Amino acid sequence: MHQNRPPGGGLEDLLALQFQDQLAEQDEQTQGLLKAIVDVVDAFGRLLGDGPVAEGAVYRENIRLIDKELKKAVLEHGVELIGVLGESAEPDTHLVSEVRTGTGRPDEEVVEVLQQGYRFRGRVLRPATVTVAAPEPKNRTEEQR
Amino acid sequence: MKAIGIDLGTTNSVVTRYNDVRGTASVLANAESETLTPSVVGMRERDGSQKLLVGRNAVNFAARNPTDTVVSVKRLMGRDYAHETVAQARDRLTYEIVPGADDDPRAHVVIAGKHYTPAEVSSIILDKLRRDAARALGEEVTHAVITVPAYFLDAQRAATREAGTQAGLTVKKIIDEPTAAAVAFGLELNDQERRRVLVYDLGGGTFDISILHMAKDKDGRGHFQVLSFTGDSWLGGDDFDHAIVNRIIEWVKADSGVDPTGDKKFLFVARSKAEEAKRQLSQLDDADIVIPAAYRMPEGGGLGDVDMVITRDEYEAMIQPLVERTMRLVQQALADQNLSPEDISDVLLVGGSTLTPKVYETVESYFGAGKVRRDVNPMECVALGAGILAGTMNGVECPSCARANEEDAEVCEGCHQSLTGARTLDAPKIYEVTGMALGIGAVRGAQQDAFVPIIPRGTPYPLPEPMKRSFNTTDGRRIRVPVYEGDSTVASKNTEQGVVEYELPQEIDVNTRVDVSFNYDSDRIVTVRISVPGTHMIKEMTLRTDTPRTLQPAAQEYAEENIEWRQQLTATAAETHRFLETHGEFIDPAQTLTIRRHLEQAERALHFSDDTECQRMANVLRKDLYGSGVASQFLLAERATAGAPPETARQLNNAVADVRRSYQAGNSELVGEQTRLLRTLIAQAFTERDVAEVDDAVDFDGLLRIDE
Repeated sequence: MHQNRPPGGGLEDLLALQFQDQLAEQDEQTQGLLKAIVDVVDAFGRLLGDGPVAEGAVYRENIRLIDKELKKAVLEHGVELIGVLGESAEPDTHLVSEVRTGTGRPDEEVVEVLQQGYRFRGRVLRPATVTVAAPEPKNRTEEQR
Repeated sequence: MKAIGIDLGTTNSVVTRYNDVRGTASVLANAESETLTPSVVGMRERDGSQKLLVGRNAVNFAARNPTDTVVSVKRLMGRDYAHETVAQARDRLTYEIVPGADDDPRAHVVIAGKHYTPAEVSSIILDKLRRDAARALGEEVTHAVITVPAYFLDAQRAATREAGTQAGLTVKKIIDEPTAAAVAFGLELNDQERRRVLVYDLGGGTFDISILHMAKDKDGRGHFQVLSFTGDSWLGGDDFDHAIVNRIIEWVKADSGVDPTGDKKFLFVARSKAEEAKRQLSQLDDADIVIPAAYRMPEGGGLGDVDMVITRDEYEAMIQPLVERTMRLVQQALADQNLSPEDISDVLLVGGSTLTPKVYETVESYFGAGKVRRDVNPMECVALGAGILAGTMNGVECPSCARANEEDAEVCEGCHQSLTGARTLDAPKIYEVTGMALGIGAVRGAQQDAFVPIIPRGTPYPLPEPMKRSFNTTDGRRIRVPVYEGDSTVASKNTEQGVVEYELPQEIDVNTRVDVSFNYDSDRIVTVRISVPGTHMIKEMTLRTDTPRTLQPAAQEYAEENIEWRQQLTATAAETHRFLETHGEFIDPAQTLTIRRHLEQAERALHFSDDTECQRMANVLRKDLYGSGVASQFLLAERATAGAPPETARQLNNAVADVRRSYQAGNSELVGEQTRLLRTLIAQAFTERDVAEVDDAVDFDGLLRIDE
């Protein structure tokens, strides 16, 4: 809470100060996220500045670690990942791009993630783009019978 | 009461509300915190239960339920199943479109096996918009102003109004999209100044051009008249995105030899990057398109990246043909009104795609930069105009006691007098005029299919009093008054709004004068009144324009005549083909196009439609055969000549030759005179032979005659 509240301030002043506190907190969070991203940029710089790649597995491990750090940074700042194999697709969080039959998986279960989705403080920044399992199509007239 | 403005779009819808303090409207975010709500409805069936999906959620699950997800329902609003637009939509859309049950000719859509009218689907979208707006405002939303394209006919406007009512809204006004845009742009007029405004509306999937006339009368009331509208229902910003996606595919092919067109994952990301690049190219000279690990290289080569640049010059060359297509339509719209670019005082740019520099620069270079307005967000301006009207319309003023009443009130709450012709109490002073003429199909001279306007195009409404014209009966006690909306002099080329039928009682002379009057209220509902002066004979009917168009005979009669109608349509279609081949040069080119369109519709009816539609099409073709001026007289002359005595045949042939010569010489006066003589000869020949064709030729089927 703000420490320099003027004595005798009314409700309006109090709300203004609270708003300032919120802005300062948001600013601090943004700086933290940017610092984490800058660290990732540095890591890429080191990797690319190291000359020709000698061994594929080592190089891949370098990339995996950088990816892990970047994901950790965004998750720590309140971003949730959407789109995990085996979860059930939901219209408000998953964009179904393809339907696959004959997988043996339950209807609408995610069987492939084409693009990860993200949610921030309850708001879907981007739905996950997924392929879902579906039963073999039935003839509509048969269904109605 | 809280009122909102709604732009109920083909692809997306936008909601706005008016702020009294600021005097402006602003866009409301929906429950998903987005300002655009996709105009999409779907059904999710899971574990034996069904749940309606609306907006973004329906889009997200469209691939899961493609046949149960309805997009672009606006294209079907108030349309009959047999309409050309509906036929086009059936070819392009993944869900099922069917005619209604029990001879209802309107197009319906099928969601999870259940039939819905397009108005019902729209009401589901409007209901979400209403609920989301209430959530954003923290209070119940009860009233709305909803926009529709200027080319919407009364049936489509009625369907939109019905959708609003079903969604729990009192629809204060249905307003033309270009008029709403003009309100949002705040075009100010000096007293008695006139302006001609062109609205260039390039949305995601449709392109509309409207030319508006704006004038302020001595009382300070603004008049908006939509003079002309045209466009392309299948052209829009999505085509710009496709052009960029194609360029990315070309780049991948050139860079690696891989064709990624079958890679759905690649195409999905490429489409998203193309949209982003399009936005960047509106601001910058070039856009980087970078997609790491975009596609699989051949033979275990790993994943290939896309790393390319599109310059604005390249992009503009790619979309040049599309922009040129829009400008050809602009030129067409001007030519239709005999206008030049200099005659246009203002050009308003509407739709997200007008943010593209190539688009607005092309429009500016054609009209002059000073006339082109793009200072209001083009994706929101229609909704903003609707919001301003929603917030500032304060009901209607009773002409008798000056009390303010609700917009939809028919009689004054205070003095109970009719509010027909009541003035709207609204700040922007919208005063509308009819975009098309309303009239009836009647006999005029030799033309059986003449359109006689009763309310001319451009008439301010609601009418202070009904408008009337007088006619004469033709061939019996039965009176048939088909009501049309349109601008063609040929009735059947216009849109039929309904048919009023009446049997003259015995005490009234069969050859009598009949008055037909139309009233047109603020809801654009037509009340038709048929009366015989000096008698008590009055037939009044209010046309519910979103109900089945033509009164149908009893179902049993159909059952008996099923085969006959199908056979008759086959025969009439063959006769019409021959008519076009033999007498085509004597038919007006526009009429020829109409007849060809009717033949295509007849072909479809024979293959896909029920007997009701076959009967309707057989009648439409009969009107074409007997209502095509000189050519129809030649057709009848052929029939009269066949089997006629030699002298009669010789007279008929000579008369036909005379008309042909005068027609080819362009002497219309002589053509008229000689055609009248030919008709007399035909009638005589038929009478002499007493053949059945006489009935076909002169039976006016209860139509009235206009004598001018």
